[in-house]
Amino acid sequence: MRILVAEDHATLARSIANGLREEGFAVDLTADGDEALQLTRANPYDCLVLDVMLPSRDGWSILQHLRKTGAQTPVLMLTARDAIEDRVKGLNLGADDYLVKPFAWDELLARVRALVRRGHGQKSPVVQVGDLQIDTAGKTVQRAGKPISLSGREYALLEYLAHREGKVVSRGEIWDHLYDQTDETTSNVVDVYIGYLRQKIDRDFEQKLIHTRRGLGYVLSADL
Amino acid sequence: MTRRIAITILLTVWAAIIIAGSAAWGVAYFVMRNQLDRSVLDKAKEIAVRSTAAGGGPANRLKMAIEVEADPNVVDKKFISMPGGKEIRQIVYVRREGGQATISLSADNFRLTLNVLAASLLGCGLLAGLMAMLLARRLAQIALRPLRQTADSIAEIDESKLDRRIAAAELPVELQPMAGRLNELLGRLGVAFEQRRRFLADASHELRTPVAALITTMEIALRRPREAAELAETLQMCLSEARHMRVLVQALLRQVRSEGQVNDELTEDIDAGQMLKECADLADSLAIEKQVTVVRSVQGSVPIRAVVGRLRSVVLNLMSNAIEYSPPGATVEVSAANADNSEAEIAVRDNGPGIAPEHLPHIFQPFYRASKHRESEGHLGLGLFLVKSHLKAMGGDCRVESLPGAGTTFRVRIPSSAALTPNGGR
Repeated sequence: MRILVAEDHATLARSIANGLREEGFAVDLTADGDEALQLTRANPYDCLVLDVMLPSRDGWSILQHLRKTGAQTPVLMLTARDAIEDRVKGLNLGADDYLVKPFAWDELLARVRALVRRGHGQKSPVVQVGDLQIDTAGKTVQRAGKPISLSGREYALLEYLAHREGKVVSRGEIWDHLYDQTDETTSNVVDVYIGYLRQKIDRDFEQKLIHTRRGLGYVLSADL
Repeated sequence: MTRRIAITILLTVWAAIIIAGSAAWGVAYFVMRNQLDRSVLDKAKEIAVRSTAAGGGPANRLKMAIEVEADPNVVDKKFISMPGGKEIRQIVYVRREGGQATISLSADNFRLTLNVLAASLLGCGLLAGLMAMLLARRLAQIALRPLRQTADSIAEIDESKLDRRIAAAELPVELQPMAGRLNELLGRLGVAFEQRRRFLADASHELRTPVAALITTMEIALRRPREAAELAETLQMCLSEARHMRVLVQALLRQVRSEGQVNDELTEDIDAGQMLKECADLADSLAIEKQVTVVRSVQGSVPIRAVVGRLRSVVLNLMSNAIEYSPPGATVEVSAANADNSEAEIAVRDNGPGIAPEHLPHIFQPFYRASKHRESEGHLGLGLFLVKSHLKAMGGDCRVESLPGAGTTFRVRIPSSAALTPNGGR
């Protein structure tokens, strides 16, 4: 899941980015409002974390532009002001959630995860595909009741496929959602991770869940 | 207040009643006494007639009647108390044929009537006084009701309701100027409180982000086991964040102190030129580091009246700003001169990039930064705000002129010293 963090306080920005990366998110970071807006146009983010006070363009303005162009990306606003009118303003402009500094890291994480889920139309933190069960809150995976241990990347890939269950997902899309700007890899790496996932999830089972659509991409589904 | 007005009204009414009562009694006394005297003379006439009937000579009888009827030559009139509590009215008059005649009549009726009159006057007076008292209190209450309402509305005003005003129009005319002044006072307090509230809100706003950074950084660091080197790096980040917060907190404390009154501080008569040179010497090390030249321009003596510590902070603040925003090789010019008989001017001019016109009106506001980047540590947007606060406390002011690309000039006005006469040297 790829997230844009727009925050101009260097330490805070760096810590949020590091923390999210450790949780398996791909994170792009910017300290500038205009740049943040450009990035949202260039990349398909699963969630935006926007500080209200940003140089060159504030969080409200980014939000407004985003919603004007019809982008439905979930947005979590970060602000140092907790006046009620600020919250109302944020929610009116189309923010999906609102967090006042200083916040607890667990809260930010939980909210980002919830927003990502909601962005993909999932309400429950547990995603079920056939007998495969993915708990996006605890980041645990079970198949037929047996826990499966996945690496961070593998888990991120599986979660993304699960969010788009039954739909063909291209290699490029996967790459866009799993890797941030700083990654020097190419989309071929996706095939490698699909291979790892198949070994851990499908190899020991009769019913295969990960399917290849030649020339199109991959599908996670129990009905094929 | 109410009581005093009530008592005033009461005493006035009472005095009127007493005077009126006394006057009434006096008039009644004279009227009744005259009536009594006439009765006495009538009696004399009657006696004369009866004595005639009893056998006095007709000539004698006639004489007496004429004597009594015509204006008798009365020589004495008096009340005489008789043993047994009786009182008589006695009139002595001179008879025309010689000798005196004395006639007396009981004054009981007269006394009784007067006493009844006095008693009823006294009763009426007391009753009227009581009524006057009640009336006065009621009147005072009515007259003072708006004042009480005003007092009630003042009692409700606290720092959260400083936008309320006293309804001056409803007050008695005499009290309206006071209400007006009170409203002006409320206005001033409202502005001051609003400024303070804004400052506190801004300050807490400024603190929230570094606090968030500290908490988040440490929470993430503690989520899983880390290498010592990684932890050291995290600690380093936290330390620099904490130092930044210390700068902010110190600046806030300075601000709180700078707002205090100058009265309990030592205001001195000093030479602005001397002060300027001292500050320039202090700023030189920073200037050399930035390859900037500080040019001092002071002519004659510039006597001013100021708090040395505050003024030094002002001048150093402006100088270090000027040096910081100057490109290498540039000059910063500092000057002190007598502006007029009452004020001196200290100017700090740089050839830096200048300040954009849209920022210019805001640069003295707390936490205002022309560049919204928080990157430049130590720049809290409080420096110029402090400059203004210090100068305000000393009765001075600071203005800024700036042309983007051409540089910026800060002009500080400070009261001249009364002890030394400016020699007008410029």
